[in-house]
Amino acid sequence: MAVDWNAPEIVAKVRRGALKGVMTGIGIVEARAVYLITQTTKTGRTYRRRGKKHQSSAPGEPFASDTGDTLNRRNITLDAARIRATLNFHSQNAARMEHGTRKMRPRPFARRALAETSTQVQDAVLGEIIGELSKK
Amino acid sequence: MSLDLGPPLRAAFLDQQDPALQALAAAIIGELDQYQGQPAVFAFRPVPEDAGDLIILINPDSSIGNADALRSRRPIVTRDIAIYGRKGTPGDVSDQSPVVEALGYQVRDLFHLQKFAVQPAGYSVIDIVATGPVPAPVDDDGEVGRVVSLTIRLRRNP
Repeated sequence: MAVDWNAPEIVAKVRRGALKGVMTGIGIVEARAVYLITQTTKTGRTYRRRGKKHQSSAPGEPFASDTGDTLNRRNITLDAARIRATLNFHSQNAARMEHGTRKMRPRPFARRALAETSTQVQDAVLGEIIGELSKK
Repeated sequence: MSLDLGPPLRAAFLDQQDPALQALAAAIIGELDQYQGQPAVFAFRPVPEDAGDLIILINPDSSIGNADALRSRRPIVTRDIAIYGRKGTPGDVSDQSPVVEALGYQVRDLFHLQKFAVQPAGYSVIDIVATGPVPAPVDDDGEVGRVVSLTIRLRRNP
């Protein structure tokens, strides 16, 4: 039995599949981060701003979205050459919530989203690689 | 047996057990202000008002994931170590920015790929990966901070 091993094509397929998987995966992480911020129960204090009641987060919980600014200022960047995707939150508030300050306890959401979806992301990458390798 | 890494991380500074890291830990805490006769390493907030300026603050868990197997428990814990100091006019002796910056790198060296730096009861450390230091969020312009994030992979002892 003879086996033809076309290494360049295999590598190209694996890279293509991995990139597709990473693109799917970053979407999964993003969706989880948004869910943690907007959908999970918050147990901090409640207050009124401009006549509207707001439920804040307690320390340790993902922060509660108020104006939506932190969520609106997020984006995803893709580095195809390195098969890397990054979810960015471009607001000072995001860093304050994730890390806390000397006085304020953190409300982590980004790394929690990543930790909670890492298996799904791995599966997505693996699935896309298998899909690419299965193509004739 | 507790997965609360606050006490063992604090002990990594104040009572380092790895002989290879004891000098580094001593150098770090030697730079810090004192609070009640102890180096200012805190694992809780709010930090006391009289804690001093140059402190290390160990955050609660940022995330807990796992790489559990059928018969083994392998938590993956992410924690931040923050270093805060007083920001002053650059070059002035009151400006602690250079010290905070240097401490950030020392904290990284203390933990990065140093599996014996932290010794939690009931768990074995598989590895520790440190990222940073990066600028830490601050409450006002008079503060400067750096944060080092630790990803600590553990295995619960049988």
